[in-house]
Amino acid sequence: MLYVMWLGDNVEHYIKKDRKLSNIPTIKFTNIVKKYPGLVALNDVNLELHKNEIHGLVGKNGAGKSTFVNIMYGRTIADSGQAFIERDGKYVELDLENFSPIEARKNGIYLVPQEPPFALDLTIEENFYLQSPLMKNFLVMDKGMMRRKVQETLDTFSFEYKPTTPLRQITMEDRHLLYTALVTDLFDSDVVLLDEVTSALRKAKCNILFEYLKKVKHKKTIVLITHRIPEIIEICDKVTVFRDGNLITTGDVKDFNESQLADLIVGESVKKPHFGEQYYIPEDAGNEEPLLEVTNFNKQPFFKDINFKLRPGEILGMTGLVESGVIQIFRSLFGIITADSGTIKIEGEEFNNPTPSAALSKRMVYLTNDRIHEGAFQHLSILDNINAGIWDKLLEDNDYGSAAASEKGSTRRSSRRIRKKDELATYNNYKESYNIKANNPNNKIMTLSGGNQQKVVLARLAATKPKVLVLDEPTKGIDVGAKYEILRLMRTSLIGEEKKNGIIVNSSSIEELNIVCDRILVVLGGQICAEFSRNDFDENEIYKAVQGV
Amino acid sequence: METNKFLRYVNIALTDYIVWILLVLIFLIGCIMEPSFSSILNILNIMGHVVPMAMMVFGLAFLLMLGRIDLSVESTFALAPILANLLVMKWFPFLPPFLAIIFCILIGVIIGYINGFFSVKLGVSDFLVGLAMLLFLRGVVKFVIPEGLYGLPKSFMYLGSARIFNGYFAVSIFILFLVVAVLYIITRYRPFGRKLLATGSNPEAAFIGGIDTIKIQMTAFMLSGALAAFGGMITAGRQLSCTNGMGEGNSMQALAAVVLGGVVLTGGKGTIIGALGGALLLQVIENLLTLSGVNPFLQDAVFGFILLAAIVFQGVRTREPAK
Repeated sequence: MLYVMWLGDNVEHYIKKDRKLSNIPTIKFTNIVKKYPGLVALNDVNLELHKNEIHGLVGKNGAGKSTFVNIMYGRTIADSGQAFIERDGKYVELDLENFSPIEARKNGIYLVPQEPPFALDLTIEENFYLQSPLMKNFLVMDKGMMRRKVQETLDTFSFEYKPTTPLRQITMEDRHLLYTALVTDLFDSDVVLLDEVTSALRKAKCNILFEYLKKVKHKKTIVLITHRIPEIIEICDKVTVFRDGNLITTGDVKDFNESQLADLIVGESVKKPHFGEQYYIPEDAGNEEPLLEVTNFNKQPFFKDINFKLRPGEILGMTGLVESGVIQIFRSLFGIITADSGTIKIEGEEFNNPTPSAALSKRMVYLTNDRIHEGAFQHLSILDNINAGIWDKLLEDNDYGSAAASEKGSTRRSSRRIRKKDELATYNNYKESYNIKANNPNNKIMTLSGGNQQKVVLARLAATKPKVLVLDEPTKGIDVGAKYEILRLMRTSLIGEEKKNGIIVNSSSIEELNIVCDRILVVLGGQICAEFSRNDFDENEIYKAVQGV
Repeated sequence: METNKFLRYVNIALTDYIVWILLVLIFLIGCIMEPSFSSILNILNIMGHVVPMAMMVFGLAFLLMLGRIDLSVESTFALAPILANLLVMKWFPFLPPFLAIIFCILIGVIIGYINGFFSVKLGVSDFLVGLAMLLFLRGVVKFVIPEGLYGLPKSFMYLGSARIFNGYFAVSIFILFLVVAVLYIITRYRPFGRKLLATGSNPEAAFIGGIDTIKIQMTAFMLSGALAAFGGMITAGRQLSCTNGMGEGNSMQALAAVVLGGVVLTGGKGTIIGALGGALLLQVIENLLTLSGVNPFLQDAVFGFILLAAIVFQGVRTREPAK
């Protein structure tokens, strides 16, 4: 209410009287509304952001936090509402109706999006000064100055790259951090919006970022969107929870603990899934034939001498730093990357010249960690996305996609064409068992929130009735509720009632691996450096092994 | 809710079947402006005329749904029937003449395979491969029959020339409907059609998701070649000969028809019915322009204008919101 008073005619007067600016919001939003057809993305949101604070925005996928940040940056235009920015002790209203990223930048508002918008063939230096190079005079660029500044930024973030390194040679993780560095350090930014930047970063890189944010927060307003609650507790001063387009609460972080935040985000109390011992496989059941056996697997320069077995009913965690080679090991199992040497055996049978489609016919499937580019068919319907793995099977005489038919106790007869009712059977089956929130199977998958998209992609894999699932970051970028649901699915329906299937999973969250795995392999520098069985799970020990200390 | 549903249908009509709406509109305008336009004879004439072009359009539609392109279809259209007939008439006269039909389709498939081999397996730009093949194959055509080819086998000309119902109704129109039906079923109800659109929508996801994207793309290239060759065969039947200029310049028209038919250039979207509509629309406009005595040299300009309008309309509708 106090701020409403400030909005009155005597605003300037009031501010001049009280120069304690740290109590005055640098930017404030009132009554922001944004509606999409059939969906209220933001419902009357009021928010104030202050200097000298790191403000965490949390909420499920589709809760409205990304929409809000996009409105702040002018990528999305609000239906109604006002925004004010503090400038030299005065409030200036931002023209939200005609707002755009250009306007936002003029006002010192910068966004670090989920995808760093770099030109990959240019160098770091060229990318950093792409829009407005420093000039010596009106004809000649000041290359020396630019290089020095870029080098300073690189040093601040402990990068070992040179300003002349092309972006293509930089890992995805570092690109994210690099863009954050560019926006926070090099640009003249007052308000920095970090949209799920940390979801692409491992712990060590996160720490570098957090150290830096702490250092600069006295002169900048920082907004951090994240799904990782511990990060909020660790780094943020204030937190705002969104749910279903509503701002649920704003407050000091020290007033909340992790589970309170989780409850607020989901809107009901969430418990970390806990499975009884009967869900895991006994450690001495080692004599069965392994589902998957990999021996002497090599690929320069990613990994070498990889040997492991996957037992029926086992969930095998395989984790490491981004550059450790885990991703490449997964991809080589499917021939997405061609391995130099080594053998893969599926149920004792050699699997040569792997390709994803050959693997599918051996009932081994892969979930990519890059859902947007390699997972979902963004422009196809939800129905097509769920059935994409079993179109061939839908013609045959079997029980794929026939939840309805199996109730009647009869399997489907073979057909020359794909029947809508079989497709819908798959859809309805997984919509229910995976708790997918979708209105219409014919809507495009991109209309769903991230968590639901991920469930659809997972359902597509599950519909093929796989024996071996290789899941790379199945919970990346999705909210707590959906995360735990996916972990639960892994331990129950994906592993199968009779515990005949096997799962290999990579996750940057050791906590999640601890919940769901029977065994964890840690990969460091392309080699398996440690193995933990369920009885020895210890988050600290595993973390140390991952970091190689 | 009712209005919502109605709006959805309007939206679907506007995206997927805009070409048919346009077709009906132009047809009505034509009926009013030119009395001779609406005669059954003229309509059958348009239908018969559109068949060869429609074959090329369908082949290209498949490729465009994949996000691929083959500019050489017009040269395949000429080369396949010409080589097939030279085979049975000149080079191996002891072969039974009806084999020309099979050779013709086979040559189309082979040319499609070659295009696919370079574009898909070797990963060269399909646009450039098509452009080179367009020139190369046309060059071969002009070399092997500098003056045209006459006296083709009767069996070869049958599909293009035969007429029933007192010579009013060209058999090729039946063939058109048959081909449309088969292709429609393939795209709507067979795994191939689904995989085609999935691959076009996101090739990476399709490959990783276990779809044999190379096979799908190769098949589409071969299908496109076969359909172009088939179209050439029908044209040869219609004009009772093969000329070295047949089909020249038609690739671009076919491409225009596909785009008018709502197939998105980047792949992942489109229907055969839409492509048929695109082919018919161009033919109807051409016919109307001819009937109303518009300078034939102006026709290309009209086509270009319509295509531009269609592309702009489609682009405005499907573009991402301005960033």
